[in-house]
Amino acid sequence: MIPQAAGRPAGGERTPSPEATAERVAALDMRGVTKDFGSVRAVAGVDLQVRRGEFLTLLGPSGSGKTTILKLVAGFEHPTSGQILLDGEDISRLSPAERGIGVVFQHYALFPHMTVRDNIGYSLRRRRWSRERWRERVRDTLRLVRLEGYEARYPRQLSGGQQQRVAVARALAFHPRLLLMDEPLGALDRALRVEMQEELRRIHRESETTVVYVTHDQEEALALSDRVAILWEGRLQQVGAPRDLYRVPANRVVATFFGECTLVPARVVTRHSEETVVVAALGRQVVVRLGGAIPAAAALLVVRPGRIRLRPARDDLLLSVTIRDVLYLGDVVRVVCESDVAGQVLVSADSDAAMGLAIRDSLTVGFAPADAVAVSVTEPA
Amino acid sequence: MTPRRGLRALLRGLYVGVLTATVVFMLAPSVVVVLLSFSNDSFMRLPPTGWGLRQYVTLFGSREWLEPFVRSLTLAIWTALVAVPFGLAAVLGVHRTTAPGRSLIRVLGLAPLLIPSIAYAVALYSLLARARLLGRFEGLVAVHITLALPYVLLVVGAAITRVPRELELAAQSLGASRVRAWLDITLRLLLPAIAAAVIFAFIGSFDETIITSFLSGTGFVTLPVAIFNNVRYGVDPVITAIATLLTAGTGLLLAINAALRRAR
Repeated sequence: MIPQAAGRPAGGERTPSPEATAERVAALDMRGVTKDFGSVRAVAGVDLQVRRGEFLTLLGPSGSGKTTILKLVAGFEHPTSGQILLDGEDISRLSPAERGIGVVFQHYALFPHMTVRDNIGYSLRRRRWSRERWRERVRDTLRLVRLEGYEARYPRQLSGGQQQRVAVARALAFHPRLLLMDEPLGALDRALRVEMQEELRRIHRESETTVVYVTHDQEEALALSDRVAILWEGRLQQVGAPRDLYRVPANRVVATFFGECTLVPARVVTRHSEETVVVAALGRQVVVRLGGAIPAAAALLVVRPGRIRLRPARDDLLLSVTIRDVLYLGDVVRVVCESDVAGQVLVSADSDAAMGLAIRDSLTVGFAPADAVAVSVTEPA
Repeated sequence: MTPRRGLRALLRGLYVGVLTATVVFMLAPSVVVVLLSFSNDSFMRLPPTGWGLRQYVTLFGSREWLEPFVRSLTLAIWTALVAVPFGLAAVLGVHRTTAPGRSLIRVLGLAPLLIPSIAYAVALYSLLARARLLGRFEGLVAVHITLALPYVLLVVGAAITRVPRELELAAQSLGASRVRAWLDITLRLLLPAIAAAVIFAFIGSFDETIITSFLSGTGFVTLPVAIFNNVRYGVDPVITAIATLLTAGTGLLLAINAALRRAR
């Protein structure tokens, strides 16, 4: 019914200057990469470009293929088909050692029989650096991760957070062309995780390394990334800056996985422009933004919690709801409602605006058509 | 005293009793043998009428015991030297490759441990007889290597499961070839287990009596078989000295093993 809109660039990404972009070869360029394990297709035709110096996160639930992609890039697995290019060079057939890519593993994988110095210096000794040079580089990388003076310790003498820093230092010591991180904060407790997120951003800035980061935690992806690539069942769903993914999700998977939302059923009436569509929803016909290709007439309007108003404005689309729960979170209140039309409706409102709301109250909430995005009901195959 | 306390005291008494009995039953015969080795009597008698080093003097003065001892030592050293690299290769193949037949190796490797010794001995006897290897070093060393393999597979196999695969991958991503990663990381972390496997293979071979007595004929009588034969035709008190030395030697090896384990 509606022509494909998927080719449209996500737009609004943090790109420096046009000249720099023109000069650039993508640091990592995956072309139609597919990986089968027996009859299971773990990664299906992934095309992905990572820019030099970028922090890109592969986000997806477990089993979505994100770790497999990491292994393919690192060289621990080989693609069934497709190409992987690093700085324009095809590395698909190279061994991990030949690729010169740093890897930070989920459980750090520090060598238990080596000191911190020998762990970090391992890559440099493999490259036959002189003793003075590699030891100096170890000191520099330890300074980068703020662990000066820990050279002589063994991994077992370090806390989880410190081991994490050593793992990062070890992966960065040889100036890798690319740094891969596989859920590196998964094993840390929450407070430490938040602290390490800031540290990773700083280390990324200071080391100017291109980073591909894997996680299933969308908050982590939001906090860290320049761009996020969302994976689901081995397929890339959407790539873009966190803000764009949140505001204009390409499909239902992205909308529900990347942040919370309310889904309102709608019917596509006609295409309005390149990026907009006319839909019939909640008894009216309105023009809304198009998230991605919609193959049939049935569609869903995605509305974020902060865009739904407890006191609707004049031109809002209206939803009658019953309040199921009210959660006070300080400055904001989350109101969980239920509607016959849209199922669960999530509203995030100012604490003052929510004064006097009680569970089981019925009311009418609304949202501006401009705050809704139309996506397909079915998942892209 | 409440009933519950009484029960607890009873259980505690039972525990101490069983523990003591176990230790006594296991250690008492060895203690008796060690004591007897320092007797100066010309036949075994408890308690001895005189104390001294007579048994040890006789032992070191005769060739009768020295030759079997050297044979056993040679056999045990060769067994350990061959079985451990073989077993190590099998463990790496089973745990670190996708080679076909891995589970078969796992099962077959343990077979010598599961088949009753006496049945195994009879089967090997006919096999070695046909190959004209009865009473020869070559035949016995092959058999002892086979018998030692399960210990190597068990000890090293258990250790490799505690060496995460990721360590090898990490080394590779840092610039090590696959072989280099095996040497620097996996093999290095397996060293204590490999040392333990060497010790177990050595002790296992040195100590093996049943199967060896079938296969040694008259040409290659090992120390345990010589002791066994000696005991069958009358008891020479010299064997108490041999037994004491063997116990001490085994204890020393196990102590080394324990020390290695603690070191890492």
